[in-house]
Amino acid sequence: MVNCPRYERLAALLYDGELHGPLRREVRAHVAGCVACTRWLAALDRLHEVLLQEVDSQIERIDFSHFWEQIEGKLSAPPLPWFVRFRLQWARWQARQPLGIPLGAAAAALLLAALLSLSYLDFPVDSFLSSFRPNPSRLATYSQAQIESLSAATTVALWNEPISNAPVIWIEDDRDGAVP
Amino acid sequence: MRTHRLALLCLMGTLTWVLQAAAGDMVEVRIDTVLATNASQDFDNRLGDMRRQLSAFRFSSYRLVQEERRQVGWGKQADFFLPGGRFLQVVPKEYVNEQIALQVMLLEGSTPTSLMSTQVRMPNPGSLFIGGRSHQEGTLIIRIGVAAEE
Amino acid sequence: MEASDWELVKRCKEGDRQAFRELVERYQRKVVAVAYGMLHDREDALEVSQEAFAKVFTSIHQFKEEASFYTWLYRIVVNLAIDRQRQKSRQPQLEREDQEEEESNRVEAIPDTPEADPYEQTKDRELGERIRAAIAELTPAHKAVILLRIVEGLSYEEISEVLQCSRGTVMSRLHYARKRLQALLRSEL
Repeated sequence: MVNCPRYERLAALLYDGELHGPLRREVRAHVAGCVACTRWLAALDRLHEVLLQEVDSQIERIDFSHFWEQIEGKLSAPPLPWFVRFRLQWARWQARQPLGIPLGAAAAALLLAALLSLSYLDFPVDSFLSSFRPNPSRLATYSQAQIESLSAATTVALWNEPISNAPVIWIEDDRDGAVP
Repeated sequence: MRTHRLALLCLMGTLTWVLQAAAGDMVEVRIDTVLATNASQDFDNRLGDMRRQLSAFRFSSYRLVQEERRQVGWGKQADFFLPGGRFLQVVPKEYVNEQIALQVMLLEGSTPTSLMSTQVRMPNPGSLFIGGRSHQEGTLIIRIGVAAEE
Repeated sequence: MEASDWELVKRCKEGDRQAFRELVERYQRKVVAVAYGMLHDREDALEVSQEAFAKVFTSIHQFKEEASFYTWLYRIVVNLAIDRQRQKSRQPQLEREDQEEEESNRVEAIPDTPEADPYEQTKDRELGERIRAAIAELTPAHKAVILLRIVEGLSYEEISEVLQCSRGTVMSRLHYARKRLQALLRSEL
C-alpha cells in the first residue's frame, strides 16, 4: 500500500481526535486531497471495526449473572496465611524477571568459585583493578561536547550550560525571541 | 581483602554482562521535555536531578511535561513526539574515542518542516539541550540524554 | 439520576457494598473486554477481572478524589493481565497444549434460527481467529494501548494515565500496533 510518510502519523492523530486548531484544519485539508492518507484512514476505520466486533462477540458469550457473587466470594474469603501470600508475591515477582533467577544465581556462583580459585594463584589483582580506573588526561580531552554541524530555519544561539558543560541550542521563537 | 574487592567487581561485571547480553548493542536515549515559565515559582520535584542545570536558564518555574526513554540501535532513527505537534528525530551514529556522535533533528508543523538539524559529539554519558520554542504559556526546554555501553 | 463514579467511591470508602456493586455492574463488561483482549481466554479474563475488582475494593481508601476512577481501574486490570500472561508463559508446554486442544475441540452451538448462514458463521469464526492471532503477536504494552484506544475509546491522555507513561509513548506504541496489525490482517482491511 502506498503511504504518505509525512502525514501518516498526523492523520492518525486527526482520526483519534487529538489534533486541534490550525494544525487540525491543515491536516484535514491535506487528507481530503491525498489518496494515500484517505486509504490509511479507511484502513484504520476497518481495523477498529473488526477489532471491536471480535471483542464484542466474545464478551456477548460471557454470562455475567454470577460475576458479582464471585467477587463477593473473593472479598468474603478469609485472608491467606502469611507464608502463602509470600509465596504468591514471590511467584509474581519471579514472573517479572526477564532472565530468571536460576541463571543469575548460577552465574554468580560460578564467578565466586572462579575468584576463590584465582586467590590461590599469583594473580596481579592491583594491576587488573587499575585498568578499570579512568585515565584523568583522557577525561580532560573528551569531557567537552562539540557541535560539528548545525543548520536551522531561524536564528539560534549557542552556549555551554555551565554546570554540566552540555551544549545548549536556543532556537528563537517568532512570538518571543528572547534568549534567557 | 583483595579477593573480596575482586569478587565484588566481577559480580558487578557479570550482572552488567548479563544485562548487556539482553540489551544488545544499543544506546539509551532519554528525552525530558520541560515547560519553563515565569508565571510562578513552582519547581517540579521530578526534575530534581536537573535543578542546577535548569537554574542557568533564568526562568522561575519548571515543569516536566513529558519523559521518554528508549534503547536505540547504532545508526537507527528514533522518533519522539513532542508537545505542540513537534517531532524529534535522534540517530546515534557512532562511538569513537569515548564520545557518542549523535544526529538530532527537530521538526515542526504540518508538513513537517525541519526547524533545526545538528550533529554533535558528546562524552558518554552526555546530554544536549534544545530550547526556545513556545508552548502554551511558556517555553519548551528539551534535554536529550544519551548513554552507551562501552 | 445515576450516581457519579466519585459518589459511589465515597460510599465504598464508608463500607457501602451496594455502592461497590453498582460500580462493578457499571464497569464489568468494559473490564472483561480489556482483560480478554490482553489474555485471549474468556475464563482467564473473568478471573483477572474479578481479582481486579476485589483489589479495587480492598484498596479503595488509597484512591484520591482528583484522579479518575476508571483510569485507576483499568491500570489495575492491565497490570494483573500482564502478570497473568507472564505466569502462563512459564507454564509447562504440555499443559498449554492440552488447553489449546480443548479449545479447538469445543463445538460451537449453531443457533436455531432460519437466518443463520453456516458459511457466514465459518467466515466470521476464521476472521475472529485471525484477529486473535494478530493481537497475540503484539507485546503486552502494545496490546494494552490498542485495546484502551479502540475498545474503550480512551484519549491519549487517559491512556497515559492508565499505563503510567508519557503521551508521546502512547502515540508511538499506538502507531506501531496499528501498523503491525494492518500488516498481519492485510487481507481483511
